[in-house]
Amino acid sequence: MKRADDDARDSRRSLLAALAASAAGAITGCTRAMAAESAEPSNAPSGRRRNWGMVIDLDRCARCAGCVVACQQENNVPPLGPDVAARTRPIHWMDFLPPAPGSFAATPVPCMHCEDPPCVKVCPVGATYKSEEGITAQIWERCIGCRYCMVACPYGRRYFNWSEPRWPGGDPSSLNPDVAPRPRGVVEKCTLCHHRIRAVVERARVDEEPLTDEALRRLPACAQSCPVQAITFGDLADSESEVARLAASPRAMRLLPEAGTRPKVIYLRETK
Amino acid sequence: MSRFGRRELLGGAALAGAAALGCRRSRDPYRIDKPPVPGGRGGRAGEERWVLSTCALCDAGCGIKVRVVEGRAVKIEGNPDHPVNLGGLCSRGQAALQALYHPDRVRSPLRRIGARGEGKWRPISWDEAIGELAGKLGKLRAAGHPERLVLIDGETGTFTHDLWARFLVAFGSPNHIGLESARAAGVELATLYTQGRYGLPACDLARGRLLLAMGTDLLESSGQAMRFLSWARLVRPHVVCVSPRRPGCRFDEWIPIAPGGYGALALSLAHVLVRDGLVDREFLRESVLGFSGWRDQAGVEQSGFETLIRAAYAPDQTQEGTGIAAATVERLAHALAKQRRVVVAASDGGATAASNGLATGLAIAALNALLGNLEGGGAAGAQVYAVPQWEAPTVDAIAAAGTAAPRIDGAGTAACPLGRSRVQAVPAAIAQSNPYPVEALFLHGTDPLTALPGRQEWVAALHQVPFLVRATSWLDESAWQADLVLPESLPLEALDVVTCAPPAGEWVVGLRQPVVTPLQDTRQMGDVIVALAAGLGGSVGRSLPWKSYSDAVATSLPAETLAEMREKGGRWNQPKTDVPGSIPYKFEICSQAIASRMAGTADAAHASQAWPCKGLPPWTPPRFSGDPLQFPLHLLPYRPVPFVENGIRFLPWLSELPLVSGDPWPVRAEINPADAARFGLADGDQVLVESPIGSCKAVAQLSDGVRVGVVAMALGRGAVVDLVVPDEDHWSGVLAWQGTRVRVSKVS
Amino acid sequence: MSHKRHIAKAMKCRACHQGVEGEARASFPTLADCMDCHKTPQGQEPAEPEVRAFAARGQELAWVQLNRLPGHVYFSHAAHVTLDHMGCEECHRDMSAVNQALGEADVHLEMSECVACHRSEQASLDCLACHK
Repeated sequence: MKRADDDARDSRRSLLAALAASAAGAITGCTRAMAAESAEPSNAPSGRRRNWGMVIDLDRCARCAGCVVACQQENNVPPLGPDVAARTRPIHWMDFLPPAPGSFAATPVPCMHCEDPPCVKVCPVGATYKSEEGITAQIWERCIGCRYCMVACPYGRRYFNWSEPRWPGGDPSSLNPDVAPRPRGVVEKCTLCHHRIRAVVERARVDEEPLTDEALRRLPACAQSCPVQAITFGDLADSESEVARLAASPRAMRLLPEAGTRPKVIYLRETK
Repeated sequence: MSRFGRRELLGGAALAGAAALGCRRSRDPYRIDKPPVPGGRGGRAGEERWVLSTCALCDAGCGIKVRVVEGRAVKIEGNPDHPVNLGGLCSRGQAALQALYHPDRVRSPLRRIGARGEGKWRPISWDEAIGELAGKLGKLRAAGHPERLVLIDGETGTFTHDLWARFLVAFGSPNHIGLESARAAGVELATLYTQGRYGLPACDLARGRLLLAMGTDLLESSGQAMRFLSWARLVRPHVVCVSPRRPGCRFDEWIPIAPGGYGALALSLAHVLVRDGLVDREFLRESVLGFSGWRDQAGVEQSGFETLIRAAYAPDQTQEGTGIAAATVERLAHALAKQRRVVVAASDGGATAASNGLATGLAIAALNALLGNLEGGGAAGAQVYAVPQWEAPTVDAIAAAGTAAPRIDGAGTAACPLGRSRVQAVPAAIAQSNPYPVEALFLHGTDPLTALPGRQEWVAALHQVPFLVRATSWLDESAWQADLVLPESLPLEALDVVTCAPPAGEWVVGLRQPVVTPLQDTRQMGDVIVALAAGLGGSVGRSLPWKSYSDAVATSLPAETLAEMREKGGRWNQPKTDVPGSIPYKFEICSQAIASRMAGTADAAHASQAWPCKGLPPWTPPRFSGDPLQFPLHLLPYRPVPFVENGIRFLPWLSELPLVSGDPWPVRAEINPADAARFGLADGDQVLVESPIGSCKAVAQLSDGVRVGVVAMALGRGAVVDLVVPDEDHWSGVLAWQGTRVRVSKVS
Repeated sequence: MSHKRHIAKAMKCRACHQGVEGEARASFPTLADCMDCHKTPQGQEPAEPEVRAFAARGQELAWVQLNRLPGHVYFSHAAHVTLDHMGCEECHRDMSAVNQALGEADVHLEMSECVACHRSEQASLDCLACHK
């Protein structure tokens, strides 16, 4: 049984090239204009800009799916329940691509936070954009729910809220106050837990402590929860960082390199 | 959504609307930063803290830290300092918040006012509930029949469990019936009889390089799973998984074994190791009893395991039973011997859940001994339980007579000579009032109607018991039948001391701390037991003299130990020193404990004649219920990654994990394409799976990850459990989860 | 609770709102914080012994937070107060004249005001700096 969105995802791939070509440079959201104006230097060492990225080691990953629930809890992603789930796909910012027939390799997939994200190019309202530090961000309040970005994303990493979020029993007690819940009618996606990044960056500045790579490695909720530490996060622009070191591994690979998106979520192949 | 309109929840949408209408400065509609919350008791505006505790979603006892914002628990993460999970946490542990804030929790004690199962209740106060309970149970004692109280207790490894045991000793009932026989007893009893301590084997993972995993749930959902995951962080072990079903978790090699064939494989591997001289001779000589010829306690010369294993179990002989090619067994045995640093581990629910369960557990334990895995190299010793240091309870004459009565489940009697507990025998015992009528049944920590097979018998039994009490957080199916429902606080609201999963060479005791104040009028079980004892008074009251459970915990351990546990979430890195072994050898392949337990039983003559080795029940091929012509397939009920005993229905995140493609909710019957072709099934077909005693609707999922002739179905959902015929291992009472045949047909 | 009286005794805002310099949330004082001074009577206010009554009952003061951010906005006191040296009064009322606890929200900022200041101070204009 295929997911309802699988077909869409397949057809997206062929669409992608055309979309990317036509959309490039055509959209100038106000967000981009504002970002360009910003003059505050990043607080990364030596004033260069950070470029957040992630490495997922498929050789270590046990497919326990702890990261999936960690992400849902951290980011206030509601369960859909059997009725809604039967008509659409459950929202998993951190999802598992099911194994191909005959293979076992289910693959954990968050948003790829592409260097050249096709979704950004097609957003007519600038709700999704590339942040200063390389996060493919989405501002829920700006989203008009047109879903162009879902069509553009070759990885199927964007989800539309077909229904109001429902917390079990309507009790939102366990919502994380650091992340806004998304209403019906907007698209949502992985944010690389930017609120957690923002918190440690600010903490380091307030305490006047250097922000070490070690403090960043397990920062996103998925990486924190991983029992085997298969997920490493950090600054790809910092050649000393663990994530940059791993990204240079001979085992490194990217999903759909032919799409030209240059993902910043990099996988390490399984060893035999 | 009843109490909170979409506005409070969905500030974003409201903002968009407000902006469009040009409403300036009307901020109130979208202040959703912190919704006003009923659970916010005890929290201050802006207050945020992390509380260390211990996870309760399985028996592993991972260390957790819970983020509490203004009195609300909002996130669970692993405790990085905890030796069991090293900061990681699986999906189950993290989903516990959904249980905490679940809308269907029982909010106060309930008394049944309608007919059984009608679902009519009257909320009552705790004083009233305890008064009723004490009154009914007091009458049993007054009549001189305290043994007619039966407790089915699904919880293990906690001080609450120990408190229950203490209560029953003082009260006078031998019937403290756990769920071991339906869970890990096959492995735990093997550890008891070979190493003298009941519990899971403690694996010395730090130095292991190869894991031979018997049963998929070892990697996916057992209490040991997190231990193996943490290990995989430090070492990248080579994992060989033996199971009829390919695991959903990482492995390096999958050996699809025939159901019930694990013991034959272990013995076959042992045969190759012995035959080729690959065993750890020094270890066998120094520390193992019963490998070569040995003298029993009477001084009689007995033949050893070596003779038995040389004479039989060559890989080409076991091929039929295991379904594994002889060459594969030879290769695997040599790989084990070459690596040396290996761990052979049996899963809780898979490998030993068959009619040959104990013999399988013993064969796997023996294989570890042959490899010298007990000291240093691999599996070492056994789990050590923390024991509360309470003074001995007061036992009056009524209680002494009551506890001397036979257990109703027949464990330790002729019906089950080597078992400790046999929950599946309870319905028949109630139905037949054998050995005596059951007047009061207390269900704690399990719902037998959804967690155990034999549903019809259970329903009838629950109806027959005059007084049924269910302590639970939800109105589950057995609560629906109860006379009195006692709402239990969830682990995030309660205090307890927990023995954690077994690492080698140390013991880990976790502390569960109340993370939030109870959201409903619930109590933790320990407080109920203490209050009940006080209500009964007399020697029972004197045996549990505490004002509350936290009082009891405070007297259970030295104050400095408890203080350390509060600070760190538990206590560990204590060298395992003074645990008295019951046996002079470190490992007994031929178990003197089994020999002596068998001596007085009806099977004694059989054992002395038919068992090739004294103290070692012989491995026999598995028995399956159902005619192979009518029911051509083997049912493999397995525990999937998000398996939670009784719980997954209350944890929707787990139900929606992206572990299957397509809609995650329907029950699936995983079947090999070859079998599907045979029975005319296509992927996605609606099918009916039928066993000799039950049926279950499912969606067919064609998968080459299932052995031909096997249908794999995940437990925890739907009527899968009702397909299982509750057959068991005669010696140990281990429930044969994997002993049922089924047929699958398409529903048009 | 009179802000005026507290400030008249030369107390700084951060003495009670302890998170203001180091945390995102300015936070409210615990009863223990109050009792640091109010263990002994500090004046003739009729309400003042109430603090000790709360402490005697082991009860916390139930502060009501009036200034609530919209759900999709992140605002850090630490970033503005400690890193950018802004004074409380740049957003809040002058509390030295308020003879009670705050009766209603006193901060009414529009995004345009945030952006104007961020622009003039060359602070980050990245959406993610303030949105969540």
